Amino acid sequence: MTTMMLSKKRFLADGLAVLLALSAYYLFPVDAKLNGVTQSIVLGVAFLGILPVLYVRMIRKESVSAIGLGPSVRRFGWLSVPLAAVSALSVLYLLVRYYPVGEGYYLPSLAMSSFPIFLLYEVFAVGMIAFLYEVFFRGFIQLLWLGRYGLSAVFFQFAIFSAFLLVTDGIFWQSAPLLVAALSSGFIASYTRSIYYSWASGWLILFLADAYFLISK
Amino acid sequence: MKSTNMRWKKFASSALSLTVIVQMMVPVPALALFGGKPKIPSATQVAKELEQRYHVNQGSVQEISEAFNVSGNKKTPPEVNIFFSPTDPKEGEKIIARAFPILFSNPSDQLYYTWYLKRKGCDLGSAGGAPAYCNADGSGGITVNDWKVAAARIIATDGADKAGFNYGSDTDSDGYRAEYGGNNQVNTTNDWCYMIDSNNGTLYELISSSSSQSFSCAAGYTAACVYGTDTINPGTITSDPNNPTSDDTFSNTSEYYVAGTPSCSGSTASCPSPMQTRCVDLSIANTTFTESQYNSLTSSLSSCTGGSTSQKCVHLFPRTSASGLQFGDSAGTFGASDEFFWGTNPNDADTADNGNKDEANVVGLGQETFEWNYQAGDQIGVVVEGTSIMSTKHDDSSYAIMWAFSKNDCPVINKGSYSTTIRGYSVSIPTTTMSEDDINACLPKNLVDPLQGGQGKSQKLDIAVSATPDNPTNDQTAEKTGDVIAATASVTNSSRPISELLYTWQVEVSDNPVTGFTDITADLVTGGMLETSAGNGLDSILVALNMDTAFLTPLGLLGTDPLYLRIGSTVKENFSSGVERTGKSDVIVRVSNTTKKIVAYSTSASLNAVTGKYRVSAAAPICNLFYPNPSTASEAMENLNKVACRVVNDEIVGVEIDPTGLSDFSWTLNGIPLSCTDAVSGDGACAAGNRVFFAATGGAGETYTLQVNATNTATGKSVTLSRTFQVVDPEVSIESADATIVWPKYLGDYTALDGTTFADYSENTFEKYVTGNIKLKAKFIPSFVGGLSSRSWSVDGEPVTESVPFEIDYAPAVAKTVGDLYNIQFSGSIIQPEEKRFALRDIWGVEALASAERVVTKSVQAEVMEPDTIMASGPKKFFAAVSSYLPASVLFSFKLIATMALLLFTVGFVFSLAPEAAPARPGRRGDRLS
Repeated sequence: MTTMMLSKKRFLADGLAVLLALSAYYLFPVDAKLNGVTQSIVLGVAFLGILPVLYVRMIRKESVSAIGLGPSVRRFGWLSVPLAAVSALSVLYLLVRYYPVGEGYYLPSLAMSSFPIFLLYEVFAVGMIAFLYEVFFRGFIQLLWLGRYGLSAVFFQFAIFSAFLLVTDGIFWQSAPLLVAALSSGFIASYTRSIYYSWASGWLILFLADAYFLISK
Repeated sequence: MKSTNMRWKKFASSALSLTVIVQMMVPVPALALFGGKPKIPSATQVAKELEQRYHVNQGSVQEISEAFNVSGNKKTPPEVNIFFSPTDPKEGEKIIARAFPILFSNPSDQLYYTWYLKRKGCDLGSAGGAPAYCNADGSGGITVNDWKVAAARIIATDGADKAGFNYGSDTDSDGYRAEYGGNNQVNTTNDWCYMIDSNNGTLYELISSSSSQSFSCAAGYTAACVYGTDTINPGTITSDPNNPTSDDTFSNTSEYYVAGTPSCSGSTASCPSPMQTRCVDLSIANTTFTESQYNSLTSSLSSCTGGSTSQKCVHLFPRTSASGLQFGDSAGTFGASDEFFWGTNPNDADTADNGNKDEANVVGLGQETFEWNYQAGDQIGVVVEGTSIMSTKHDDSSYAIMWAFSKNDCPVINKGSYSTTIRGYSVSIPTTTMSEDDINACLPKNLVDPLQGGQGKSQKLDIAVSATPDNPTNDQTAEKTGDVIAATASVTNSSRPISELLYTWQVEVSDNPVTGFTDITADLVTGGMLETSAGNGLDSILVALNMDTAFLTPLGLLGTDPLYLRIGSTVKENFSSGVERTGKSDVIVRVSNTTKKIVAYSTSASLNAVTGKYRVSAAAPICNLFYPNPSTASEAMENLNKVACRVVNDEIVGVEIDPTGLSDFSWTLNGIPLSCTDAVSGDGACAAGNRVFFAATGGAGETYTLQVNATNTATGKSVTLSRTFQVVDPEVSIESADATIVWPKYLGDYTALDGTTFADYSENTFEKYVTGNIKLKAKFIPSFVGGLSSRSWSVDGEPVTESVPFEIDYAPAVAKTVGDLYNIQFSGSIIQPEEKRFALRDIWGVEALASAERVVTKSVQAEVMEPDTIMASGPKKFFAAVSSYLPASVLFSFKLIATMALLLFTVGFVFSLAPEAAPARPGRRGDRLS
């Protein structure tokens, strides 16, 4: 029997896990008797959050820091957050200025009607979604699976994330903040190897974008 | 009156005839005897000449004389008839008996009607054991008088309750004195009552005693009126009459005979002149005797004693007892005790308010009608007393006082006679000493039952049994699709409603319509061909003609064609009194018992290139499916097609019979001959005659009875088969295509009379669990119209495409919860192919507009069900039930965890299987954590 390198074996196993997790998330049957949003959140938590952790702990038998759930490896990693956010917001500003990003930009009507609710929405809903994306796309895909590709992994995960958005929701101009945040968070994660920083950056970008569109509307 | 005139005419005619005869007997004049050539014509010659001269027919005169001779026996006594209204009385109902007396000289309201009512059980004899009301007069046993009293009380009181009357005083003076012979027979001294002997027509005078007149003749002699005649014996003329040489010699002979009986006036006997009043020796009393015998054997009659009679006439009115006081007597009083006895009001002279005094009502004066509450078993009679139109022989103005009985049945007994002198003639009068009791003894024989024939409806129930169809066919096969005979018994004179009549049916079978019938009723019931044979209100039965080989073989009727069924019904009507009426009738039905059947076909049409018109051909058999154990409604309906084939309007139907062993086919459709010409079809069977076609052009509900007569080539007997077609509007039923995931709703159980229980399922509502598709299929009725249809389905308004023809397999986009409904709509459009529409036009003249398309729709619902109690109904259903029972969140979580576990297991499994080499040296930075 032909043997293979452990790293290659792990690469294949990681890729299979990513593929199965994304497929399961997308294909899992929706129960009409349950709330659709709740189901989406539960499925996201399960397949995008818990599943990578379990995989790392049970299959790879490694620490969860392997998917970025750990401190930064850079002493001043935190500086990357504002830097990345400013850069991303700058890009977003240009996009908003020259493209109809704001048209049809979705914000929950309840959040638009009340600032405290908006804050709660941003903190919990957006924060949680951003965290799940970070765990799976930056931690699981970029750091664990494609980590051997260095900076290129940032773009690979960006491509996978874009495809994910395309398949699940479709890509519109309103997806621009998510895509920009994915790319900037990828850089932070690649630099700090901690998704906490990338999560902070991504959440900040999304929060500010939402705030901007809330104010602009 | 008519009879009297006829008698006088006969008498006058007879007198005329006698005059002619006497003229013929007048001696010829002397001239005729002595002048010229004397001729002495004979009496016969004279009679013949007179007959010719006056056109008198001898036979007619003889006939008249013969009738005259016995005219005294042709009497017309009074009669009475009773008619009832209603003619079929029900228990407790008022019934009116009306008497119609005839041949009385009195007006009907002047006659005495003695009604008598005999209730059931009130037979003559001891009152012991009989109902108390039978002894109406309250004394002795049960007599005719009790019957009279029962009726007279009803008449006199007209239903009044005597409890409300005060019998302490009698102030109404309502007595009545009855006259013999009727109320209007006043100031008549002599009341002569008579009974008539219906056999010889003799009137017998009612007497107590009588004595005939007697004459003082010695023993061996009888009193007689003797008539004497002299006979001249002519001499013989031997010489020339104009110059006689000797005198003629004449001699004289005397003869005597008894011409009658002397009359007796006072003590003197006498005879009309010139007869002699003599005592005659009995030895010559009946012969002609000579003068010497006259002198020696007769003697003078000197004295006599006149006859006498004790006149008697009676009433038959009711009494207080059989031997008690009779009412209507000369006293003319009707006291308080009498009023109490009859229940009349002592202070109301006319308790019944009918214009008569109470006592007059008791004796029945003018009571032509009698009304009472009928009870089963009641019998009534009436005796009418009045003056007849027949005169008496007595020398006064009297006419015979007589009685008319309701059945005119009262023979005369104790006969006798007496002779008396009336207007100088001795007259013999027949007598009878019948007493009132003797006449009353006739009354039981004259009781009339209101239900008896001739006086109302018959005691027998009038029943008519009818059966349809006319030419049913027995099915010997296991299909058991023989015709069903519907036999109905109708009763026209029952007193009770049908539901209270007991019907007992009997079915018999034979190989001929006259004799040899065998009762098969019980066998039919056992074989399920007859539900039941007896029961109250069972006025009709259905006999399924499914007598198979096993049934017919023991009867020796296997292969017998035709069979004859005699279906009889006995109907019994019971009354609370125990009386019952019965009636019976039957009908014989000819049943075809052949294994051959009429097969129906769908048809196709094509253009006949020669004529340029369309004609038809038989295609596939229809109404030919049979499901021995039908499990669905459509299968059960399909089986019914074997009995009555359902077709749709504008359907062209081909019918055929196997021609083997048959010839000379003759088809009729609803009695109208049906033939198959080349213009109709080019099929060979059509030309042979064993196949024909017809178009069902009638509306829904119209029935076509197709019948074919053929000759059995082996036996020469005719064979008749029939089949029924019924035009129906096409229908569609929706059924489950997979009963494990969607099934008809269970409605309950139906228990048949034999105890068999059937599950009843809804045809419009289905059930399913939350999971699972909706798999349904459409079944057209009739099934063959499905091939003509185009169909569309929708579920909750969403169009659904058929997965296979006639079926859908629909997976709901969003599963509904328990209690929710899926609304499934089906629509089918049916239209005949154009060729057949052309054929309808060319052959049967059906225009295109009349054969347009029809649309059938059907809506059903599928209800999402809570899972039933876990039961062994298949693993799929079991798991479907379990999964549906769990809360959705639990189920979702379970599925999520299972998916994640499976995913991890899969990756881990792959990860562990992949062979692994030693790790390479650390490479790039991305491998650092590996």
